[in-house]
Amino acid sequence: MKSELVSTAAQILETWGMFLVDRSEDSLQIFETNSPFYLAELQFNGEFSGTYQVVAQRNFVDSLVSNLLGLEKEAVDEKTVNDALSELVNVLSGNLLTSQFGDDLVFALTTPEVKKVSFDEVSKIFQKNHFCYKADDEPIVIACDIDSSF
Amino acid sequence: MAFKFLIVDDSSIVRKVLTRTIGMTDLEVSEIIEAENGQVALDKLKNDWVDIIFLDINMPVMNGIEFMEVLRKDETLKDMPVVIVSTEGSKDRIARLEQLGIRAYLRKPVSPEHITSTVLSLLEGENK
Repeated sequence: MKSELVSTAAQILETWGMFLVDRSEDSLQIFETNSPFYLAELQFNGEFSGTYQVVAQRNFVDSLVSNLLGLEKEAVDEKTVNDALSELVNVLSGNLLTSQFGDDLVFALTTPEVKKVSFDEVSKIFQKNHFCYKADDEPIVIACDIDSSF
Repeated sequence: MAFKFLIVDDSSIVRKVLTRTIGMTDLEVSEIIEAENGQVALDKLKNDWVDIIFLDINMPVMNGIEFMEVLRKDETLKDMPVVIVSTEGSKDRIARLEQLGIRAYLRKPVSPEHITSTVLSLLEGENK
């Protein structure tokens, strides 16, 4: 199951985000520790419940916005960062849910939330079920935390 | 025939991505209008006729369900085809939207091929 999720997430980053995507080593060292971390998070509820999270840094978001909107990084404000990461976690969640549970189960998704988090908070995400990528050489981590009844 | 579309979504990113995806199809498009919520969409529809509305569900001010409820009561606009573009999986909400007459549901990310086949099937159906 995990390999399907890994490939689904990579496919979304490639097709929707227009990145060149590679699996990355599973380590906090892939991030620049002196650059802020953004956490985008979305919860789902239905037959199962849980949370999907995306952790990335500004260079990744700048590339994503450039790919989606053609904006230079100087033109990317915090609202655009928020919108881009919200939509990324939204699209990822919908597709990971389908990959994980099939087309028949239905879920309600909460509105995505984006916030800046500390290195310590990012290290806690690495304790969950997660996968690491380099998208155009910028690190991104996707974590899923599913109700223990699953 | 050139098509005119309305994209209703509170995220400017989503609107731009959908516009870009429509641009990647072979469809002849005369204009794409954008609205950030259902109320703005209704205001724009007072002056603009469109062939298809691409509608998000979760939006501030007036969400997709509220928009559909108003649209279906409007004698002029009630038959306008509406396609939901969302990751929404709530059975209740989708059932409610089906009751309100949505014509198709596209799950994000939407490909140019999905848009082409959806638009052609809806508008060919209109012409039968």
